Amino acid sequence: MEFVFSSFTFADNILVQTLLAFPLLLSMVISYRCLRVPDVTMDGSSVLAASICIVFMRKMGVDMPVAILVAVAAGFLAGLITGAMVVLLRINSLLAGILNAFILYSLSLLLINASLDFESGSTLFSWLKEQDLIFSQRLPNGLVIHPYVLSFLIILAVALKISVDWFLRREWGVVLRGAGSNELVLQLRGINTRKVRILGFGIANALVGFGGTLISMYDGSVQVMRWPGTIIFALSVAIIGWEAARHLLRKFKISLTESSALILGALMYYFIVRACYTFDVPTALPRLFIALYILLVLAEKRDLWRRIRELFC
Amino acid sequence: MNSSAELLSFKNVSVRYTEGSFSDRNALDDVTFSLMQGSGFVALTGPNGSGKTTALRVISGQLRPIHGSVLLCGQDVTDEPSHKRHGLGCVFQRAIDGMCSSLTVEENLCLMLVDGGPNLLRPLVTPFRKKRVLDRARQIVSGEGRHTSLLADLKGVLQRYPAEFSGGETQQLCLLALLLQEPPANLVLADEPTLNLDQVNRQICIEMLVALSRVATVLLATHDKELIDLCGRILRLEQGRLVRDSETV
Repeated sequence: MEFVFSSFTFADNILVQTLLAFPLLLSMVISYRCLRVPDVTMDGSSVLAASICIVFMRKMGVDMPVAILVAVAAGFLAGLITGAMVVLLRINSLLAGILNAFILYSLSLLLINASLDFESGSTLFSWLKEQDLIFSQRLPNGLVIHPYVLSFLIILAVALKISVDWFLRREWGVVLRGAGSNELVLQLRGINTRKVRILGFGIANALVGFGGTLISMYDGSVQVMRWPGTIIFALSVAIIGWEAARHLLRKFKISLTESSALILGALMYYFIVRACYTFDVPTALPRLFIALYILLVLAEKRDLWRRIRELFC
Repeated sequence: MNSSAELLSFKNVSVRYTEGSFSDRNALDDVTFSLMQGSGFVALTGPNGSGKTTALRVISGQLRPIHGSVLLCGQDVTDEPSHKRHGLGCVFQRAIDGMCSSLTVEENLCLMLVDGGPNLLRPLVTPFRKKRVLDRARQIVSGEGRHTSLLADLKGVLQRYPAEFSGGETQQLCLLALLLQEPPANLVLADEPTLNLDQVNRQICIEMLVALSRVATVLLATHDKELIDLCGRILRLEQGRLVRDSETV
């Protein structure tokens, strides 16, 4: 029975983490898939948006919905700046992202000085977490699950996914998807692809800003040191999801949209993270396990020996 | 079509690449010519490195001349970006360069029917646009009697991506896209469009180019003898200079 309970907690935790990360991951569809740029700006725009949100709420007394909107706008603006660096200043897109992340990271430190807590009861999750606690208290054996938080996150994820997929099928969205692969064809159709690309960076980072704010609100605090490396996390999860969708699900004739495959990638990622946690793996090892696990799942095993033989002949 | 109006004017155009093998001389050197509307096929010939592709890139706005001016329909577009040069279409030597590889065939073709800039809320693929694409393809196939062509089964391949097709098939899709273009192109720049194609695909593409030449002037950079024979005028470049401008019978 205890095993069943711990499995519930295990699954609940993986789902919450996956859905919390979803808005942030969704930005990869715009930046990595459409614009074909691994946008490092997200390392800075995520934390800047969260910092702006907390400053507006705590120091300026602004209402939460408005503060979230301002945070999303800050993410959008941060993306526009990277876009302008790439398109107008012709700086390598990877470098432009890194430089802008430096700037945004410094601004975040200036704003909140390392870390700042949300006032208790002030965030999106305060009421939901409280309800979850009341719900869990009725359950046996100290079982803690989050039906309220999960329901909210599922609705949010579905709404975001539908919105992004819908947008990418509109004329403007299709142009954005095409802008990363062939600008000239679009330019000859009279489309200003420079503007499209800059706005694309903006949209991707608006999603990052929202994701960063959401995660910080769930944590109850903004910690600047937590965010560098976000791009590595997002890239790995996105590629795991897309590759898994391509390799594994193809066998079962299931096709997933790029946005849905992100959920699959995040579930796979958090499964191993949570497993390391559950089995008290020493803190140095989880990343090693994650890497080995993903290698094992994604590696093309068919004809591996033939490929190894050919390497040495 | 008003056949007496000037379509393209290339006035004393010189181009120098700042990087690469051309840095010691101009890739185009004081080239002047003009094309009238309704000229049909015009050939741009010359040996490799003579400046044919460079001339096409200057017209499409990918390269800026260091000297001279380019006029399209009487409007000076020398310093205008590519998206401000209306009424142009391009066919490339590498057929895939004429398509967005991240979009499906259907999206690539429907994109040609978007008139007046992309809309934020309107879907790109609509039943009306899809019908127009399929009708045009059917029209080409029945007109030319090419039932083996990719276009004969276009409906079956609309959801696929351009990279899944051979060079000849992709070139057919690019030419279909140009035939669909709204508003129609009045100048098509074709850079070796039949190079590396097998006999069947080459013939289909030539027939589609002929269909294009009925509605637009097609400036062809080519070595293909059969294509040159179709041209009413031949411009010959050598070492970046226009050495011959001749009308053919």
